[in-house]
Amino acid sequence: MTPAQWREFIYGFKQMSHSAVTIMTWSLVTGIAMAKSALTIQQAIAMSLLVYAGSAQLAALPLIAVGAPVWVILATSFMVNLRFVIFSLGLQAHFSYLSTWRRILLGYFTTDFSYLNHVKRFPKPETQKELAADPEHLRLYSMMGFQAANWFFWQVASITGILLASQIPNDWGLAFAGAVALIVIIGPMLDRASARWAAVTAGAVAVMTYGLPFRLNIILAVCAAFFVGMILDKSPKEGAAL
Amino acid sequence: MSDDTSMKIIYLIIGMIVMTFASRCFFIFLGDRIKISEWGLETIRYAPLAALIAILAPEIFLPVGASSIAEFNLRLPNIWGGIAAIIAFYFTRKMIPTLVIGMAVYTAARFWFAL
Repeated sequence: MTPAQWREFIYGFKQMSHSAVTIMTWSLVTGIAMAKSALTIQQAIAMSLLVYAGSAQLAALPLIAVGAPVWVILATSFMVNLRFVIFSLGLQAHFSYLSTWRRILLGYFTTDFSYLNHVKRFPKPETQKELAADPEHLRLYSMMGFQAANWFFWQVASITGILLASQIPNDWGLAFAGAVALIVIIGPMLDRASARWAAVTAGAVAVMTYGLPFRLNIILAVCAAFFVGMILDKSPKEGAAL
Repeated sequence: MSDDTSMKIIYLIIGMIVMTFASRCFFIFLGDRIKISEWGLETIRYAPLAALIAILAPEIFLPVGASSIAEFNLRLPNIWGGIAAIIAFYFTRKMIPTLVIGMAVYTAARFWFAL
């Protein structure tokens, strides 16, 4: 890395550290839940290190417990990961100049936190002119800093949770702490009325259709939010998230 | 654990790694073959928010392991803890107070409704 790239990387790492408590709450809860499930310690650690998708891991655990077929659990994982499909569209727009392998690696490490931090800092992809003026690809390095910090904080607390789970009683209601961490992630996204109405609609639809298999309620909630967002948004151009 | 179950878990973990790649790299695999119109980009803007809400809302408004809306009831401690956490976040915008207040109300509600 050049000094400028290193500076950007450190900036990203420090910026992500502000979310460390949120990340670690969520991952500690995920780690404890995994260790308390049918998974062995080794399996739980492998899942944490390699799958690296907390919401999908948490959604898989009750299905593993009831002995659901593998394909059902995988379909559910994809559904819970649906938001990442949208993030990948943004990533493709922001980093189309990278080689396919670099982009795939970048995609794999892009979680909610790193994506939202990146688009908050850079709402629009670089134009051709900006790209030409930025031979060091500095935006890529702040993104890598976000990702490195996110991965580090996630894994430290997740593995701590896995190893300490046997010491923690079930009745502390720690799963609820994971839900609270999600509130803190979602909160800043509700920055205007149309987003808030889209969120309320999505929440109501998701709860009312919760009985559907494969978490199809997520798809219905997303469709309902499209609809409400489109109707309400009077200034669609400003502050686009992609 | 039997060998059978342990093989199943190994397949599952491999499959879930594939799902992580499949979702996070979905449009990266498609590369520039897919062009999304401006209108398309506007439409999907709220998708990540809606998807996160769709994961969170049932955790707050339905009991753990619920299978449908029929199990909704106001004696759920998650609802009161969740509302308290949302209010706390609204005023503080910080993780720690949100977590402490949310968990405190949740725990209080659990004891209250258990009486």
